[in-house]
Amino acid sequence: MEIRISGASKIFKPDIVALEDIYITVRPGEFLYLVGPTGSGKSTLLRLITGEARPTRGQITVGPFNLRKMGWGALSYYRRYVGVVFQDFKLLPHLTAYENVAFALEAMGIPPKEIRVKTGEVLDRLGLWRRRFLHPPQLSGGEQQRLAIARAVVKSPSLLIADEPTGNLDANTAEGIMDILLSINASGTTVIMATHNQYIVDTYRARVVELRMGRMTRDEEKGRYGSYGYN
Amino acid sequence: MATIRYILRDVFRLLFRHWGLTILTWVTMMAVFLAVGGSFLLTSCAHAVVAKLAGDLTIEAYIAKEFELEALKPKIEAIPHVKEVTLVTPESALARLKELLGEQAQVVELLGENPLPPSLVLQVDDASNADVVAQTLRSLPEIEDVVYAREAANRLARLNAVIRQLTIGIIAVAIMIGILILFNTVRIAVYSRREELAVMLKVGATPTYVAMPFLLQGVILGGLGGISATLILTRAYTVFVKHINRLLPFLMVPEGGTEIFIQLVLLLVGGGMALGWICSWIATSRHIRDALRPL
Ligand SMILES: Nc1ncnc2c1ncn2[C@@H]1O[C@H](COP(=O)(O)OP(=O)(O)OP(=O)(O)O)[C@@H](O)[C@H]1O
Ligand SMILES: [Mg+2]
Repeated sequence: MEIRISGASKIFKPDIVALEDIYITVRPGEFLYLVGPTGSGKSTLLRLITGEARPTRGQITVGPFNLRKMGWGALSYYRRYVGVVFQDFKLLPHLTAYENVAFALEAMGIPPKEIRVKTGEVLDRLGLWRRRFLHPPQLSGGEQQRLAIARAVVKSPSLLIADEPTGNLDANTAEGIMDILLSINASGTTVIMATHNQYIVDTYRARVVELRMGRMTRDEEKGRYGSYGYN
Repeated sequence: MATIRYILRDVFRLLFRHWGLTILTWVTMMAVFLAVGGSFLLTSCAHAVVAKLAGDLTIEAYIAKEFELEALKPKIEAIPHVKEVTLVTPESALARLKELLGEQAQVVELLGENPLPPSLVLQVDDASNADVVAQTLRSLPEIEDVVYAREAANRLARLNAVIRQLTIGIIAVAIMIGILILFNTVRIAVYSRREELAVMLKVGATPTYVAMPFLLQGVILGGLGGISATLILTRAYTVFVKHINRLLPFLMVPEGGTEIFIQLVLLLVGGGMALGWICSWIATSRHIRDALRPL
């Protein structure tokens, strides 16, 4: 699915300009880094794409979906095509690792047999199979991160949105997660990833979009992380 | 298909996870519906009794002892609207009383001399003419007293109005309590799962899928309350009617049959389920709306 963002602005009440006049087109199957200082609007832009936030001005379309004017029904339907790795994971503490992944498929009405197969596969692939009976609070940070990714990718989404999926992880674990994201991308899924990880961006080169104070300041194929002071 | 399975599983999880609350709600709803159903039965009984009495064509006229029964008969038959006149001698009246009392007939023997006055039992052509006929009878010097059902019915009808006011009040209060209890129970369930609910919506669950277990929880709790109240009431009603018809046979309270049962089921079970659905909908929809509302 192609993503078209044209002239999107997001102003939070009363007058916090989180994004201003953003134009981005993401082709199907692309891998895109979203970089920029903290508070520059990365998460807000991702939320516009997942339908968690609505643009104050401008248009956003993902494939056939017009996110500007989408009802509840269409929104839930759309979200089945989009896997999201939230910055704060949003794992459910009272469910086991296995159930955390499985319930995302249940919500889509997939038969139990298929759920068992898919959930087993994805947990195995992310190295969580032996942790399947543990609850999120019992998992390490990296394991929770991987579980959040597992839940996002188990439904084979056309689009994967990941908000700092390597935040707070050691270099090795971060690379492991990049391997996973790249292999998902290689299977045809568009990946958009917001990150602060300079090493990752400079090592696994891909398209880089940079935001500063809500404005797009750079859009580069095979770009680098760049440098900016925090303010 | 799989979706239905997941929803049903979630319903039972909801019911069993908060089992204390489930039982509490069930019992409360049962009490609520006992009050509603009991009031309903009471009014419909009272109505049936009044209707029956009001439709009664019989008038009993008691004759002063000094008058000749046989001579009186043609005079009474001449009154307009009187269809049929039967003479009841004190002896036959006593025999009837003995028959009515059955085993306790010996009590009558204790009375010694027959205390019963002679009387006339007459049939009017239409129940609405009973009042006029009774009035004419009362104006005759030979007649000592006139007893007829319609007069009792008129008095009962006034009592009925009071009963109706009372039952409307009881039903209103009971339904209000029911709404609060059901709403609260579902709200607690929704609240305990609000986080899960929000995440489910974020990963592609439809609002219907998310809401359905709560709606069914409400419907089941309301329905259970209604069903148990119906069972208790139908049983209690049969026993009650049997007793009252033995003690006060002239009231002729209608026997509880399938018709009463169907009415109760419609009122209590149907009402309970509808109430459950509505309360759950109110308790759930706000949460879902909030979770889905874009920033
Ligand atoms: N719901 C909201 N209401 C008001 N302001 C908001 C809201 N969400 C975000 N903002 C503001 O919008 C700006 C951009 O926030 P955003 O979370 O998109 O930054 P970010 O680039 O993701 O930062 P970080 O790298 O720290 O995650 C911030 O100034 C933030 O305070
Ligand atoms: Mg962010």
